[in-house]
Amino acid sequence: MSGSSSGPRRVLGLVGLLTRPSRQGRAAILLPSVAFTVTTAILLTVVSGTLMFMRDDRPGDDFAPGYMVLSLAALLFLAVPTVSLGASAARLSARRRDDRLATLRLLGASTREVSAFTVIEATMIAAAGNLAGIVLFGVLLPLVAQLRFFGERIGVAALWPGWPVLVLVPCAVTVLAGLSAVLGLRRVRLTPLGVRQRTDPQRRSLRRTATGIAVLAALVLVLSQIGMFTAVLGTAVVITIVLGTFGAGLAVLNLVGPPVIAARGRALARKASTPARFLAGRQLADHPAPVWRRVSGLAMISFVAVIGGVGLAMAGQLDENDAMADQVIFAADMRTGVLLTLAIAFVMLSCSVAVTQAAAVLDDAELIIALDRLGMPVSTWERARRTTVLLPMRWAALGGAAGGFLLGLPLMGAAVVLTPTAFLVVAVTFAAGFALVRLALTSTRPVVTVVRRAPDRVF
Amino acid sequence: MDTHDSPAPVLVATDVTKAYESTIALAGASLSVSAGESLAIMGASGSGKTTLLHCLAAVIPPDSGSIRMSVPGAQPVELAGLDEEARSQLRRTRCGFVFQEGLLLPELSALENVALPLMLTGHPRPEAERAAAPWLRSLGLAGMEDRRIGQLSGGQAQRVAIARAQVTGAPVVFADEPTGALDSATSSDVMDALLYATSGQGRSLVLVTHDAAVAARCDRTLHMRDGRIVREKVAR
Repeated sequence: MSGSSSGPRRVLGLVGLLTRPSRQGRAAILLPSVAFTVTTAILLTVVSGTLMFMRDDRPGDDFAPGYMVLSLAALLFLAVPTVSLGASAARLSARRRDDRLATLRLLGASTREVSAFTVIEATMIAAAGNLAGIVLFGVLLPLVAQLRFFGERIGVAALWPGWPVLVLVPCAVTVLAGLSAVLGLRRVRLTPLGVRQRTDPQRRSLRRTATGIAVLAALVLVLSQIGMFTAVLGTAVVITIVLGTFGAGLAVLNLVGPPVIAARGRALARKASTPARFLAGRQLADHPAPVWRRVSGLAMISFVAVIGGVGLAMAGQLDENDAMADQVIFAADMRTGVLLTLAIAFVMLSCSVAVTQAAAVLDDAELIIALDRLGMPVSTWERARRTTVLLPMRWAALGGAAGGFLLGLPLMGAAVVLTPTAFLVVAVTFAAGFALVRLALTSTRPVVTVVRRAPDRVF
Repeated sequence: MDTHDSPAPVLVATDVTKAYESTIALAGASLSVSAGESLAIMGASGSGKTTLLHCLAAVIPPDSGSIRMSVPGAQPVELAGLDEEARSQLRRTRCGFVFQEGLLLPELSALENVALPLMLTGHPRPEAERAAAPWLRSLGLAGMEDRRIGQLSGGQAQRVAIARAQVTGAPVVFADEPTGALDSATSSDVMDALLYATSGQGRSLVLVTHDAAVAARCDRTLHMRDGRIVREKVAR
């Protein structure tokens, strides 16, 4: 032997070898790439909009802070699902590498080499998607510029975010993709047999749920006393606290979601009288975190729907005959902003659900094959799969809405929060969200069929 | 290779073919399996032995040829003409499976894994678990009923798979490299358990293996090459 190649060269060689498109791998590359494209395009659009509201001098001094607060709130709400979609995409692209990386470890590749390979491949896929996202943003920009704010069309010039933002946002998404891939593959790096041994049930303690509830109570308390702080801390700090509280509320939902799902799964498995409910219960009990991730977008969107519904209710309370022109415009802009935020959130949710469902089928391939061998009817498997999605989805939707109402009440009062408009927005959001998730579930049925019919080619 | 004559065949395959796009996996394989017989299928990788097992077990349909399953107390069934739903039902009621990786569900305990096929045929869970427990005990797994699959050794997991293959009383058990991931001592123990639970109980066993020592434990061995059965060896 003339000598082995150096580490970096070996890693680059592996990347070249293992990123070749394959029959099965094509979809696993394409789907995250598209998700990254959407993530970058939407994130650029939202950041551009927020910057516009902060910089534009069209609103008068009285309304400028209002526009700024609302646009920051929208940015916060949309940043969460956007980042979550990016992370889902990264996890999906990591999924197809799992087995190959475990094989590399078995063949003697070092932890460092496997890590480097992971980062490089995830970054490449994300970078390609992000570049396409910049192009998509270029296409969207003139369309979004047609929207009416401040009583007129906003125009491309006002929406243009500047070159630094255009570079920074895709770079940030790319870094996130690399980090997600590394975190997702920790187990593979721990042991060469890592992903082959997915048997450890993830125990979610009651302590975590209790902590979440305590944090939520503390947030409600802070918001109920927020008026006292305004004089001491100033408006800007108080606004930051309010937005931070909303962000923390969303974080609490994600903290509490998995243990609640695990508890429901255990109860379902205990009482199950059919194989479908039994299997679904065990799946929920053993894998609450990935199950929650598949539906957590709906929790967020329900949370946003409540706050958005409150915004619409407030805008609707304005008497246009008595109001000043600026007030009417502000109310109309608030309505547009809420609907726009919800629409964008739905786009993110549909992308996220499609990506996570596709990843779920790949995750469950061995289970699907095992049950198929035993002769489990397709209808039984579909029922089990539906239960593992719809049951946590109900909890996610209810949890999100409850969180929104809890945090909205002390801030804006029952008269504004508990209005028919707010409830209508929440109801429509629930209906649309459930329909979307069911659609995503149905759309992945062909993937399940492929896994069942050609198990030898999957592995 | 001609079909093997036997007084009471439970499975008769005639001129079975199967191709994956341009790759021919089976090129006219014929065989028969008698009630209570253990049959090993050997061959190099790519010889078509696993595809043949999958066709015989109604996992996949053959492209042409005939596979007829005749079990006591039921009408003979021609597998080649069955749709997916009918094949699923046949696997549920008449076939047991033991595979190299076990294909056991890590989310379930040993007892629940064994009880699952009974639940799939409509038995209530408590009843299914009551029926499953004696099989685990008879295969030396008493006291391990509540353990998850990940908490069992490779040999113990295979015993769970063997118990699962028996619990519905399936007249034919199909095993794909059941000892492939085991050391020789454990492999021998698992084969003891498998033969005891199948041919030892009057059931048929069709087994695919690379291991000549495993094949030698069966009543008969068929050798495959290029999708055909080229040689047969009957144990003395």
